[in-house]
Amino acid sequence: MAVIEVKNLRKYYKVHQKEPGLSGSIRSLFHRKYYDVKAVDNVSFEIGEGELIGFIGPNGAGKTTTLKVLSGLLYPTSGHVSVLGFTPWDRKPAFQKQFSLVMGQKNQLWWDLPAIESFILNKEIYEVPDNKYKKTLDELVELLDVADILKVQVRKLSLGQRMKMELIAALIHSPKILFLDEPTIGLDVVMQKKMRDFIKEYNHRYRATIILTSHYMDDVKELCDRVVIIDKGKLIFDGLLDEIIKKYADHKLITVIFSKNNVTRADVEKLGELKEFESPKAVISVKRASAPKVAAKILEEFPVADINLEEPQIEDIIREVFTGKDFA
Amino acid sequence: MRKYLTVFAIDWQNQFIYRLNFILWRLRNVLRVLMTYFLWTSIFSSQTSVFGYTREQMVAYLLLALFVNSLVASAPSNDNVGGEVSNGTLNNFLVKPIGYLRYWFTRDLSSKLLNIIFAIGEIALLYLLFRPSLYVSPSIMSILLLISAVIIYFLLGKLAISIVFWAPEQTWGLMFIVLVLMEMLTGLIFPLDLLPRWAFSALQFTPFPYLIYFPLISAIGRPVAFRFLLQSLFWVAILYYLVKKVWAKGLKTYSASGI
Amino acid sequence: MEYRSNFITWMIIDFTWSAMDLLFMLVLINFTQVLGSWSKGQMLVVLGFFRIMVIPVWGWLFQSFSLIPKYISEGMLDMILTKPIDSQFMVSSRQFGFSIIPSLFTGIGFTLYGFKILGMFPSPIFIIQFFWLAVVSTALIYGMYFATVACTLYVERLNNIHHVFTSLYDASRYPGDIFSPMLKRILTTLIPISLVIVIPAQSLFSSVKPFDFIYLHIITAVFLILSRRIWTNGLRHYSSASS
Repeated sequence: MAVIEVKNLRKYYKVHQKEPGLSGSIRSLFHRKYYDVKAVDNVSFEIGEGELIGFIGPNGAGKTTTLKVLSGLLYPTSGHVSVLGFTPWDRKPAFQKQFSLVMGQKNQLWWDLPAIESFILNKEIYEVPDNKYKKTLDELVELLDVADILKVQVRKLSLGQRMKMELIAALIHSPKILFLDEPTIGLDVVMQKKMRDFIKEYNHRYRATIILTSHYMDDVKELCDRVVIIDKGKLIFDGLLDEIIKKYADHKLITVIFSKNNVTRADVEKLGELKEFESPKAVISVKRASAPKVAAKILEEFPVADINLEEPQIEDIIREVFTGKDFA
Repeated sequence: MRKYLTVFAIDWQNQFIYRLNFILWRLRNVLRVLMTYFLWTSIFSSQTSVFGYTREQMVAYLLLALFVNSLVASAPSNDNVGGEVSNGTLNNFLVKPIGYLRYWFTRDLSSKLLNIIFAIGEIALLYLLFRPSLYVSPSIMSILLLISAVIIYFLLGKLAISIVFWAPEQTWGLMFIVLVLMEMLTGLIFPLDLLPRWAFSALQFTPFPYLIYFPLISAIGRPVAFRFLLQSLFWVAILYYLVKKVWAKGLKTYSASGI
Repeated sequence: MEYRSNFITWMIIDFTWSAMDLLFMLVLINFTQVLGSWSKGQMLVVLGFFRIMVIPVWGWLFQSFSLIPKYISEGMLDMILTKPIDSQFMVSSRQFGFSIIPSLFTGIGFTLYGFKILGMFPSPIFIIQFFWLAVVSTALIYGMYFATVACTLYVERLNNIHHVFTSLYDASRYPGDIFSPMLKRILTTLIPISLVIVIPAQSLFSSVKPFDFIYLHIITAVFLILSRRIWTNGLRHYSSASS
């Protein structure tokens, strides 16, 4: 039974074009030229209970806009959306009590008070019964290990601690659906991992349906089996992550900076697919499995100042998916 | 209902965090009363009555104006709502089962309560210092007028703030204009019936005199005809309707363009 | 062009203020012949000057200083501190609103009407003296306002201190005589709000006492130095406290 149903969702914005400069400003007073921005362009998908799905795509692709429609913040231009049987933008309390939206930097905690006060407030807003509240609170506090900072003013907490508190505030009413918009943005590597672990654990324990958007490949790799790729408002791919990785992210990029200028293009081409060459820098694409071996070979045979192994950028993958095979 | 009680309680706590700033606010209010007190005492030194108001009555009016002003014309929501709409924090409320304007009205009430408590203390102090002959007779009429005034002020503020949905850079400016108008036209600085007849009548077509003047003179024992209460309630109804309509439209615009 | 609408808003606000003053004047004029030691005409001259002074006080000082708490809370102050220009200069010169033109006209209007009632017009010497005193007064207002605003560096969230200053400043258009002796003392020495408008305006219709003249200069210097001290000290305090 699908928990979330989206059919032919379209969200267009009318934006007016302003010519630069003073004369442009004056002209815009009298005659405004509007053009359509297709933030979401005919997107359809279904999500079942307990799924952990990743929406990935470059910045401005339409991921956040889709989330906003699903949570009822935006009215679509056209299309049919049903979440838990409700139409999100009706904003019925019965619907709102069952989901939670967490958007990166938008804090909901009271800045000058201890986080626990904000939890109590949410408890009342969502009408969570006392004993359920206590149980949920204890579990979340334990999961996130924040027992000792519950009574500390939010403004005195570190960014990581604050994020944990935001999560508790967002989950205190045990939502069936969790929308996470760019949950790891701005976090350091350690915090990112902690965040991902938490999301995975939460999904397991409570069978909550989770949609997360991200433009970090790592978020998705660690958490999601199924991904939906959106680019320029269009849904490009909806399926298992393994498929994409196998097909497109099966290689790594090695960036080398040679310490001497005597390395030729031909030399480097022997190692793998040459992506870039501008002496003393070269970028080669090699199959995942052989990447370490090739790197070792480079270090042995060439004068190297610096060497780097990287994942291909998600933008590259998407570009390939978009211009390459048809996956629909 | 319980959720709003909790909002009230939490806002109450929140007010004690920045004590010094709060004290400064009270100081500012006291200073304004002091200045006005001296001004009018000086004016009255050359005559004993001004258009039906004796010195004692004028002073009483001014001191009580302080009290009524704290009760009616204070709303932290006016400072905050515009910002929340512009920076998107409004989203946090739209996804939750809580009414945004109701939430802020509750917070305003919490702030008013704390300010009233202090205002009572300050008036007591000023009374001891200057010993004006105060005549206060709160009646049902004055209480009703006061309640009506509180609601009118809130609605007026939210109407002014609503411009943020269409012209975000203008919010503060419009608020300021409304506030400045309020200083003079509500009866805070001087009893409005001192104005020429035509001006006083014209003013009744605005919501301003119902904020301070009418509740106040009712509280100091001057009879207020029933029709003024009706006029006041009429403004409540009009403003309520306007705010509902304008905010519904504004939220639709907000939802359509998604800040 | 972005500031166009802001400009219009401020124009409206300023026009409203002028209208309020006019209204207030009508009320006063109808009911009293003297205010403190001033006659009607003298009252008008002082009020006119007060109106004109709205230009530096609200058009410049308020615009710039009201941004300071924002700088502090949003961290922009740190950016200002890293620039090679003196920070006090930077925060003092952030904004100038040109839209308070109505006050200029109504102010001059009140003043001229006051002269008409008094049946006199100051000689050129007096006018020159007046301009100089106006400049000194502006510096004094700057010093006092800045001193209060600089205090926001010491305590978290002290923005209401602006309102304390503006409510005090509002009284600057009344003669010191209307206050109780104690208060008058304070308002002419510690917090010389009763001097800043009164002395320059009074110089237009009566001769300035030498003592007052000198005192104005001295107290201005004191406040300029004091406010700078508070600011620089405050910066040190601020830098060590911010996270």
